[in-house]
Amino acid sequence: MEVTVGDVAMPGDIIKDISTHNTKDKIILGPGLRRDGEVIVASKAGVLRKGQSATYYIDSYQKRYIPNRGENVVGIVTQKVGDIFKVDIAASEQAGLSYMAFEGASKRNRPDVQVGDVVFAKLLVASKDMEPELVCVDSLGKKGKLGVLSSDGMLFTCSFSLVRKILNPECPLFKMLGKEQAYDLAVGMNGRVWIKARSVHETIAVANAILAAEYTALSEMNSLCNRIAKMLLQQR
Amino acid sequence: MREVILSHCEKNFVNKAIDKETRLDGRQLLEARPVNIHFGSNWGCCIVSLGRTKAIAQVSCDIQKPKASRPNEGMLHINVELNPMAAPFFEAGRQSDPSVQINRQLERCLKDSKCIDLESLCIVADKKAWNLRVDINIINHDGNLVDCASIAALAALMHFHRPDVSSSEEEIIIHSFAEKDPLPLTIYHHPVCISFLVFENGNTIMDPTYLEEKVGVAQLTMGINSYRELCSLDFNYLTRTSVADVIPTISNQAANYAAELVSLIKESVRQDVEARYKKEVKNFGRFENCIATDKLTAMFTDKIPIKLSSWGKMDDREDEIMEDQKENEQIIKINKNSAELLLLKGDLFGNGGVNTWQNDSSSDDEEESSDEVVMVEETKTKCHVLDDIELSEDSEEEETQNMTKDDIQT
Amino acid sequence: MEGTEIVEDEGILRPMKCELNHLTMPDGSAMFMQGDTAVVAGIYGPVEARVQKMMYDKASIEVVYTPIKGPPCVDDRMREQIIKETCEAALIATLHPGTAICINVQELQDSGGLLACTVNAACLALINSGLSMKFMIGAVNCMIEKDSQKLILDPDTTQIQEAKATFTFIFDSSKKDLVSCQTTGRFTEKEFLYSFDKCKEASQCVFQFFRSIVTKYATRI
Repeated sequence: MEVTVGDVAMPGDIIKDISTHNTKDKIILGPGLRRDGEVIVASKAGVLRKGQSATYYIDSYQKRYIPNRGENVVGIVTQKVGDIFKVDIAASEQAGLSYMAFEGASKRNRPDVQVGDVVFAKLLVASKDMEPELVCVDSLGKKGKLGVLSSDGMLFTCSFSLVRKILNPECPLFKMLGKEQAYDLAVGMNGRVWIKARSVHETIAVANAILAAEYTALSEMNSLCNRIAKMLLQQR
Repeated sequence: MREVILSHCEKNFVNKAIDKETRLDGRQLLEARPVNIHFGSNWGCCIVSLGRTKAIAQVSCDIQKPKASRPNEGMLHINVELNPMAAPFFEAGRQSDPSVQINRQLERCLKDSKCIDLESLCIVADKKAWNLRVDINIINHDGNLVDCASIAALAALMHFHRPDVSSSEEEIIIHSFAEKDPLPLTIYHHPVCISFLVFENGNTIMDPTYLEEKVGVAQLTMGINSYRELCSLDFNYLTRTSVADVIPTISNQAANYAAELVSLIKESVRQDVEARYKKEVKNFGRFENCIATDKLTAMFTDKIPIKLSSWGKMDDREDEIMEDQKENEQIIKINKNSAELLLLKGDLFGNGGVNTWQNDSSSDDEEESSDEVVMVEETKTKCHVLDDIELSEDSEEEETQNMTKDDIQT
Repeated sequence: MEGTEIVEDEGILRPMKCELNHLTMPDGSAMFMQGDTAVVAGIYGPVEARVQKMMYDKASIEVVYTPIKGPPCVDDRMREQIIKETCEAALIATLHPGTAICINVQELQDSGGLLACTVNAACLALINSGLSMKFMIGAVNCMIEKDSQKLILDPDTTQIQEAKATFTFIFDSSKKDLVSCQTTGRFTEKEFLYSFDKCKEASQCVFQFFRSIVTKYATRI
């Protein structure tokens, strides 16, 4: 079957819009698409979308993380092996995180990371044949927002489509929630979300709002936030 | 695959929340998740979901030679399988520690309590007897596998019908369902497992989820039947907490809930069996009905693992609230007041909040009445407690002592 | 239940029902019903492979089929093998070298066409898991009646008892080619080819159903 942008594509469907004959045009194939000889074929099920310029991808549902270079993830430190920490990032393999990859770290000054800590880190190496590698500093050696997350917060998992939805700059959820509550938040592309708010109740409320956003249209986010705020008032 | 280790922040947060007597999914400490039972088209087949934990049970039977030690009794085998589908760290076809443990607990609860009349399953003494086999497959793991498996096993056994046999000399004829109506099993009493989890700070919760199970320090599973009799007890602890500390605080709740649960199972089994006797096409409670086709809103609330306690309750009444808000600002204030009033005793009874809410929206002009409503409820709750104490007094304590012995034995 | 089902005309499949993402733990899951035959499938992948089964150039695919009662028997092992080989054909395993993709299938109820139902459930679960596939796979079951020599598509248990031969064909969705096939009983070449053609036509219904299910879920979120 042949499909066009906006349609639901299934694995094996041929994408009609993209022609491979004109070699001058540059086309970028995103997740869920592959080239099979002359044609472009879908390999995942979901809505076919077109980004700016000629970028095509399939918006699919997924729960298992496949590491991608440059993405920020939330991981759990599971092991200390010599100079590196093994971090579980919910992918097929544990990622390595060198103790030197923290701001201001040196051979003498080791960062204080324990097994069981939660870290927010960037994927430096992510290739299908190699063990993923994390860093907690940017190229200038500054930590920015990366690093060990406080153990006062809460960790939960959600689907990737929700992560993409809430990280989209157009999504008003965090701004609206921020009007009522104060909270710290780290969203990893691996579907793990860490939140810290003033109280247990507020933390649960924010988590509730985020998880409910999966089934809420962008236009209804406002009423969702109001509802959460009202429930918090009631419980207090 | 290995199980992902518990992070510090999950552990701290759950402990903190339990300190404040809140649970991540919005339940009260001693509140169980909703139970759903769906039956298949064969006798003795059902899917049970306890919140997000799901189990499938199927009862089957064949004729075997009875055990030499009990020549006039049929046999009952219980087999719990932790399907690798339920969690990535379960392995197929291997008896792991947790599966042996669940098997043992169910055997103690269902087999050793002699709830099934095995003598009626004997056809020819010392030669032929029915051999029942209950296969339970866990297909989704979200904590409290024992309870889910025990509900599934009990529902399947209650639902099961065996073929009729007639024995003449030396010969046994098994009648097909078309020839003679199948017969149900004789069940004397209906035991179910009820699990509790104790946390570091000493708080106890009922029906723990997967995350809570990882954080908790001691686990207690009681097999109780609807007559408030204890059938089995299992206490599993990591740190020093004695059974004596925990049991008095929860035994009442466990017995009440067991009775409630058993009546729920009985009712759903009864409905399905009756429909079958009448050869009706039943269009609820069957496998096809656990497929959510168009229930968008239902799915929506079910699938959120972390929610405020008022989330689900708000859901139904959302429209009302919206209207109220449009009509008059004052009403909301009344609501707030009543909510605050409730909180003073709301710790005892979470559901009270909803009731007054309804009352308020229906009689929003009577401001003074809200106090009265609260008073009435208070007496009600007291009554409940009294009732329970009266009911449980003698049997409960005796049973407890018995079971501590039993616990030592195993 | 016997007798309650309407006897379908030749050429029509029993009604299909499906819920994607039925289970919360697996990465992809589906509960699939075809008539009264019901199956749940759950997929984990790509996950860490065990050392013995690891392949350096592609993902190893493991299938576990659990029957509703009793320990798995030889028939169940054969089913596992068929699912494994068909899914290997559909998945692009080279994208995830050194990992494992675990496909778990649990039988809920068998009233005919269990293998076809199992394969379809596995395919829906794979679609839900977001793993890359070359194409979808769809299975259709059919039989030839002993007395009338009539071809019945997607028969139920009572009909199967009258069967001379049964066939399960599994097709791919892009070229509509045969991926695998399982037969029982005796039949002629002509009968085989005739049922193959009929099943090929019917497989379009299966693919159409897959598409409608995904459309429903894709537009909901």
